[in-house]
Formats: sequence, structure tokens, C-alpha cells
Amino acid sequence: MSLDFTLKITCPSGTVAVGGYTAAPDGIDAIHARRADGRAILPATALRGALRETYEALLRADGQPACAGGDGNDPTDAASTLSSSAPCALLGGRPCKACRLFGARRTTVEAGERHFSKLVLSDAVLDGAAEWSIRHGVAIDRKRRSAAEHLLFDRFCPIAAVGYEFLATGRLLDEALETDLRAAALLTQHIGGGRSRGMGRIDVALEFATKVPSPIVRVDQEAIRVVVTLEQPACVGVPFARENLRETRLEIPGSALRGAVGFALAEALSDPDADEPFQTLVSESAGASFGFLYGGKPDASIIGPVPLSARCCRANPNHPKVDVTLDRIALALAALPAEAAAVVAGILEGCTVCGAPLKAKSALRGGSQSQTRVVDRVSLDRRQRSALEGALFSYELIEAGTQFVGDITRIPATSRERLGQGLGGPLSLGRGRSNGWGAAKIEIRPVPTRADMNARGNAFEQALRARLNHAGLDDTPANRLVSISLLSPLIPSDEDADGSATLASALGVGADSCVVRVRRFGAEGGWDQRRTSKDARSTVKQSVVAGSVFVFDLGSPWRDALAKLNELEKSGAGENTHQGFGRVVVFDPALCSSTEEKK
Amino acid sequence: MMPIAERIQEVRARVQSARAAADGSAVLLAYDANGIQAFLSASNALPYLRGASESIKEFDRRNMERQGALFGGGGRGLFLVPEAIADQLGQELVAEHAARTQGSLSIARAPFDGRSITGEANSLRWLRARMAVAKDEAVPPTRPARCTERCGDCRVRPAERTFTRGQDTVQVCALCDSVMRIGRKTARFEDEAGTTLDTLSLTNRLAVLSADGNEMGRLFSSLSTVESQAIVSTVVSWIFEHGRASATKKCGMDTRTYVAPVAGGDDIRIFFGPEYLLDLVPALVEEIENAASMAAQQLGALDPETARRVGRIGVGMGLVVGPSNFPASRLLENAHNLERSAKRICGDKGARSAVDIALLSSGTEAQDLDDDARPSRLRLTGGGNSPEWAETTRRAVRLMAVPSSQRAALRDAMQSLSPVDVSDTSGTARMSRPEVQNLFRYQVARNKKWQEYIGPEWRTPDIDRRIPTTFELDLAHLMSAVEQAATKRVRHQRAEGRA
Repeated sequence: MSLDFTLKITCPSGTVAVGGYTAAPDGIDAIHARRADGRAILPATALRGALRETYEALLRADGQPACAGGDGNDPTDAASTLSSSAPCALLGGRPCKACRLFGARRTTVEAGERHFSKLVLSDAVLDGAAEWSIRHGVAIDRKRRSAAEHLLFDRFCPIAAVGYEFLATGRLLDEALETDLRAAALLTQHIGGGRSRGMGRIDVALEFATKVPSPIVRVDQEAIRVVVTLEQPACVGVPFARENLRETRLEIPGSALRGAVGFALAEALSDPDADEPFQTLVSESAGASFGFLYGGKPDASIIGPVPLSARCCRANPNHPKVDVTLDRIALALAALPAEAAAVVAGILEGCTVCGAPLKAKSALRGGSQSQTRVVDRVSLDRRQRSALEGALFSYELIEAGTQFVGDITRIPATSRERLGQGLGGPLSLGRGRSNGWGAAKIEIRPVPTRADMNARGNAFEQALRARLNHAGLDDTPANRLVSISLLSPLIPSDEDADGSATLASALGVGADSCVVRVRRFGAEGGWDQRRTSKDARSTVKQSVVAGSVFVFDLGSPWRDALAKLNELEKSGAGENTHQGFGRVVVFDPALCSSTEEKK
Repeated sequence: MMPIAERIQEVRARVQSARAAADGSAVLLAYDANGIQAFLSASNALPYLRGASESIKEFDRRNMERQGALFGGGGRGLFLVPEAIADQLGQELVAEHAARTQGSLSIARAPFDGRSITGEANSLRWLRARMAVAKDEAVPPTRPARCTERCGDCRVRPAERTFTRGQDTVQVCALCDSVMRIGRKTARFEDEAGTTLDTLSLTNRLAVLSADGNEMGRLFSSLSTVESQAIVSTVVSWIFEHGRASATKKCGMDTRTYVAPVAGGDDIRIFFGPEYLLDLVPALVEEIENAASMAAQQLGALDPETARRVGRIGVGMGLVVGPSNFPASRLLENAHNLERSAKRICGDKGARSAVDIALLSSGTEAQDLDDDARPSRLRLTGGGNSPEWAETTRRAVRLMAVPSSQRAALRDAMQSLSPVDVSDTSGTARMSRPEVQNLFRYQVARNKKWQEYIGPEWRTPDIDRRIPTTFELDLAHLMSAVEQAATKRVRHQRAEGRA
């Protein structure tokens, strides 16, 4: 049973300065943390650090073992010299209580565990606006009795935080630790830098709230549209990290949504492993398919990246876009040099407005774009009071307020109520859940109806015939060709090099029937906290990126294969379709604007 | 570097020889390396950056020794060969490129109709269309391998070998190992061998420049013969290579202060210390535009219209100054986006050359690139003597006298004016324009340095028109930081000399 609480932080004197979270303007050495809208905050990472430090001291005073910031070493024991990467085992082979409450530097959870830390805590946000000023600090040269050179430091922080109230919300996932958290909050007195100058003095008031049952969202359809709005910044992991920068994906993969719902339900249910509706919901074969979430309009029938075959003006991306799929089909069907020359002559090479070259550019349908920021996060070495070696990372975060849209489909009838319960939250997407990152609210809508497959097929066929006729080519194949655009990454089978065989198999034709491919490759997978990290790394798989376009020759009229085409749209293709991989749109209307038409 | 006139003669001879050898059934064959930027900037280690460039250069050099080679550079090339050997040539190119970089190479070919200019023009158009198809249909890269330890350098491939970097040893993959060994061999100075990008700079920041020729699409699509295609490709490569080499030399830079990954054609990429920024931008524009004029003179006899177009070649530059510990690939992406932003004000009716610059603190990214009012996007008219550039840098130099904390407070206030796309639009903590103007007036009224910056009319009510742009404030800070770092270094060197 988890306990909800609020944490009210006030400053009895001076002000606060927690650096590293917000980019300091040039000319300033440090700036106190604030959100994108300028509002001052106490970052959850700093709050946790402050609470933990107090709690560790309390435990040691009580004669209980406590390591230093999760390093597994007991600072009171001179012989304790474990490597900093070793997991804490100070409590009879188990993690110390501080590690239980706040987490340790573990890469995996133990059997039966679902959390690294029993405490979920959000950023504490200032209730109202702060006035900011620059506080100068200078070191005095003892010999000259004047300011020492290059030792003038400027901090940009609220003028005076007296009277300010920062509010954080959180959940304690283990009732047994309630008293411990109360004690830590009561005795925590400082946060951030400048303590020796009287800064960072705080009082913390912890108040457990009456447990309010999470709202149950009504799910009564086989498929639903979900509109997710981030309430806190989010970092969704990428398969390969670059240097010390932890980047984020700009979309929410189905696996992250599925995981968030799964964790919410696992927390709410008394015995999730025995709960049949829950197990059916998350079954890989018979469960629901949690689609990828992208920025876009909630009422759009097709959500995802624009096709890779789209071309936009290099000089001005706002000029009209064109698509090269029909050109590519015509080029593929040209058998003679004269035919190819006629096709090539009709291909547009420059923008219709300004004549600048056309280039492929990755973008989302509807043109939305996520704002990101990079924050620094560091573990402090308790002994040296400085950054711990190898523990300084920059995280890229998607800003709070960003909206994502996607669909959950194939929801088993017996699990709809359970899904509604899970969507009621609390939901957390991506990494850093215990810092409150990725907290989101969800709105449910009916899935907008796409144009009928037959109508889309007719429009595509008509546009293709026009393009082929313009190039003087035989238009007979036009009624056999089917375009498939990926709306999410496709993970092909191991034997399939580029995804065309996987899609061909779903269509019931041979791999050599692929006439056109416009695709790029990526990687999917990554860290799984339920496995050892080294094994988890091997889960990285090659994928064909969302937006890729394939055209197949079915060998017979596409109208005869409507059932298969509808099934492909409904079920997707390739591996991990339960995590939203391999979602497609057949006869994508975006492909019907030939470059030739625009000339 | 071979003079441009000799290069043009050499290309002509190559084309004639290839035409003669190809005889009746000839094909045009082009290659283009896929994902070359990702390969070149996969690591922040200098030996890697140099070694990766050297691998691509060597690949191009060897290709130019093959039969029918007309042009090769930056991982791209063009051949005119008999149809009988085209398949074999394509396979050999793919295999050699894979052996050097583990990457994929797109190959496109089109029948060559050399009977008339129209025929040649059609062949070239067809080849371009085929290359676009080949790029989209390129074979997939090597699948991510299942492994327990990934390369400490590229962080993607499995770690297989141990590489010694100074006093550290790093577990690296076979490719990074071989590339870094090449990089060490090509190092001209001993201290280049085992260092990372941050050593290029006096400060803890690194500048990355990405430049690209303007109007290149129109220039190349106007070419109708294989000879003109090969010659103009060579000429354009020479212009940018010569321009880059001359500009860096003019600024007193050497291989200890910059690294320029191979780019080829009309592209330039340079990692360097930001202390050279103010000199390098105008120098690069001047040298490229001068080189274009020189090349145009040589081309005059060949085709006056093409010569005119070549003589007007300008450059769009994106420049980012960011924390030197950021991944090279990320900084390069930012610079490339800024390059696109700069090119938006170039073109037929725009400037011949332009630059867009972003100075990133740790935690910021180059954003709002579509904003037409970006103060950091500058037209560079008049080559190296651009009045717009001169005026901006002059104002920034004068701003350096203003205390840094005052500049920072104003910069922060001005930043808060920009809209942020988040749901919380209460704006309670953001400043309005009149508030920013008030802040500025207050600072000017209280501070002599500000008054000196504004001039005698600082008492006039409309001084808020003189508020410096965010870019000028950033530039002033960067220059102050560079000045401080340079002073510190000189002192350190003097102290060492005394010791």
C-alpha cells in the first residue's frame, strides 16, 4: 500500500541556490534551478539528496548501518573500502534502510521488487513568482587585503526566499518507512550550496494525505485514442548513450506506455501476478497493443512521422512539401532507357516556390515539435563534498506540458476495466520515476476513423495512373501496387535484412515483390531493470525507422486483398507488436502528391 | 595543393581518356558513402576524428587511380566506364568501403549517351535520380551485435581490443582501434596523438563550424555534359578546400588548434577553439569568395554561364560554441541546423554568404531556428569586410567593458521574453517587454560602463532602442572568457619560463 504525501519547504532565512539544473546565463557562475516558465523549483534530485543525507545521519546515530549516498560503504567503518560500483549490503547482506528508501546505484531490481526506491518525489515548485537577483561572492587575498583575482563568483537566485513556499508531491511505496521519512523531513535543514554563507536553510513539513483512490478511466472499446500530457519533464531512454549525455527519444514508445500502465496496476492490485484481467492485458500474444505516442493533433486519423519519401525546400521548410513515391514507382517500372528518361524528366528537383533544392527532413505529421532541455545530475561524494568521480551526467529532458497522442488497440474485452484502472494512474513514462520525471495525465478519446481502405486505394491508384501516363508508361500495374508507410519502427525477423520480407510475408507475397523501398535503419531496445545490465544490452535490435515507405506488387488486384490489408493495419507487422512496433498505414494519402503534379 | 588550372586540365584529360576507353556501351557510375557524418564524428578523440577522415580520403585517393575515374572526394565519386566492368567496379567499391569503415556505400549507374549534349544531360539526370533511389535502398548497416561490453569510444560496437590513450586504457571495437591507429600515424605533432577535442580550445568550450556552398543545386542541375560535371565538381571541391586551408592559415591556426573532418564537395566542417571565431568567420567567407572568383576565371573559356555561376558561389555557415565535453556528433548536428538557418537568407534575392551562430551554455540547445528575427543570423555581404559582421562584433567588443553580471542579468531577462511552448502559460515568472526595458534603463542609469556603451545620449528617453541583442551579449561574454583564458595561459607560460 502506498501513501501519498505533500512536502512543504519553507526558507526561514536567506535564500536557496541549487545549481546544475538550469543553464546559467553567460557571465553568471551558477543559477538556482527553475522551470521552463521561469518559476523557481527545488529539483527532486536535490531534495532527495538533502533528505537522504539527514536520514543516513539519523541511522548512524541510532547505531544502524547506513552507506554514504548508496556507495555501499559504511563511513564509520575504516575497513569498509568497497568499490563504489558495488551494491549496498550493509544490513546483513541486504541494502541498508537508506538505500531501501532512496535507492542505491543498482542496475537491476531483485526478484519480486518493482522499484529501485520506495520514495517517489516530484520537484518542489514555488507557489507564486520569485524576484531574482545576482549575489556576488568574492575571496579575499590575505596578503593584499583585497579581492583575489578570478575568485569573484556570481550566483543568480531568488532575492530572499523568506516567506516562499515550495510544494512537492510524492508517494511512499512502503508504509513501514513512514516514520523514517517523517524523521528525515523533520530534521532536514539545508539544501543546495552556500551553506557557509547562510544560504540553503530550509524547513520541511511532511503531510500524508488521505488516500484518494485513483480515478478509473472508462474503457469500453477494443481500441482507444490516448492523449498524454506531461506534468513533469520526461527522459525516455535511447539504446546507445553518447559520452556522458543521456539523450531522450522525442516520442513515447509503446513499451514505455505499457510499462507505465503495468507499474500503476502492479501498485494498485494486491496480487498482480494472480490477477487474470491484468495478465491478459499485458500478455505478449493475446494482450493489448500499446502504440507509440507522437506529438500531433488528438483528432488526427494518422499519427506519426511524415513519410521519408516527403521532400521539403532546403531554404525554407515552410514551403510546400512534395512526395517522391510515385516517381520512384514510375522509375522502377521503366524498362527502357527512353522510358526512364521520360520519368526522370518529370521529377521535380527544386522547390515549387523558390527553386531551392528539395531535401528529406524528418518531421511529425501536423508539424509539432518537442522542446527539450539538458540538465546536469551529479552524485556528491559525502567525504570530499564534491562531485563523485564518474557520476556526473547530463540528461536531456522533454519539457513538461508536451502533449503526445497515440492509440491502444486489440484491448481484450476482459481487460478493459483493468486498463481503465491502470490509465487512472499515477502514470510515469520513461526513466527517473522516483524523481517524479515522466509523470503524466491521460485523456481518453475514441479513435478517429480513417478514410475507408477502398477509398484510399482508389485515390492512390488514380494518382499512380496519372503519373505513369504522364511518363508514357503502361499503367496496368497500378491496380496491383500497394504502398505501406510505417507509423512506428518495425523490428524485422532475424532473417530479414530490411523489413521488406516481413511486410511481404504479412501480405502473403514473396520478398522480391517489393518494388520501392524508402527506408532508414535504427536500433531499438536497451536497458531492462529486471535483467542484469549486461544481458539487457544484448536486447538491442536493428529496426526500420518510422516513416519508411515500401511499395509491393501483389501480382493481382489489390481489391482482392482488402481483408489482408485491413488486417495488416489492425495488427501491424514484425516483432513486438504488443509494444506498438510495426504499425502501418496502407495507401497513405500523403504519398499521392507526385512531384510531377506540382510542376 | 595543385593549382586550379592544372586540376581542370587533369580532369579534361581524364574525361577524354574515359570516353575513349568506354567506346560504345559506356555507363556513368557514381558512389556516395552513407552515414559518413556519423562515422566521422562518432568519437571525441582526436586520433579517431583524424583517422576516420584519413580513411575516407584514402578511399577516394585509391578510387581516383582506377580506370574511368572522373572525380572523387568526401566519400563521393563519379566514373565513366565500359558497361562490361561496371558491375565489378561497383562490387569492389562497396567491398573496399566496408573494409575501411564497416559502412554501406550507395552505388548508382546510368547508361551514358555521349552522342549529343541532350543525351549527356539526360544521362546525368538519370544518374542523379538513380542515386536518390540507391540512397534510400542502401543495404542495412551491420546489425547491433549482442555483447556484454560495448566500445568505450563509439559506444555502439562490441569492445574487442585495448587502446592506450595517455595513461588510460580503453576497451574499443576493432574499427575504432584501427581508425585511431591511422589517426595517430597522421598526427603532425606529438601532442595530437592521444588527446580529445577539448584540447583544441583555451577555454572549456569548443567551436564547431558547418558550412555549405550556396546555390549548388541550381549550379549542378544546369550542367549538361559529363565533362562540365566532372570539372565543376573538382572546381567546387577546390574552392572549399582552398578556402578552408587559406582561412585557417590566415588566422594562425594549425593542426593543434583545429581539426577539419573530411567533408568533400561544397561542405566544410571544422572543430576549433572559439578564440579564433571572430577571425575565422570573415576569413572563410573572403577566401571562399576569392577562390570562387579565381576558379571562374579559369572556367571562362569553358562555359561563360557556368563560370558566372561559379564566380558567385557563396557560403552558408552554421557555428555553434558549446561545452567541450558534449559529444562531437551532437555539436555537429547543432552546427548543421544553424547552417540551414543561415542559408535561409541566402539565394537569388538574398545574401551571397551568411552565418548563424549559437553560443550554448551547458543545458541549452540551438532552438527557434525557424524564427526569422534571429539576431545571430547575419548576412555576410562584401566577403571578409561585411559591415553587418563588423558592426555586430564592434558592439560586442564595446559590451565587454560592461560588468559580466550586468550583462548576464539583462541576457536572462531578454531570454524570458521568448515564448516557451508548454501548457503552463501563466507566465507568472516571466518578464514583459516593458519590464525588460525598465531593467535596462535602471542598469544604464546606475552604471558608468553602460553609459559609455550607449554614448552621450544615454539620458534620452528612448535608450531602450539601444538594448543589445542576445547574440551581442553572448558574443561579448565569449570574448571576455577567451581573453581571460588567454591571459591566464600567457601568465602560466611566463611562470613556467621563470621556473
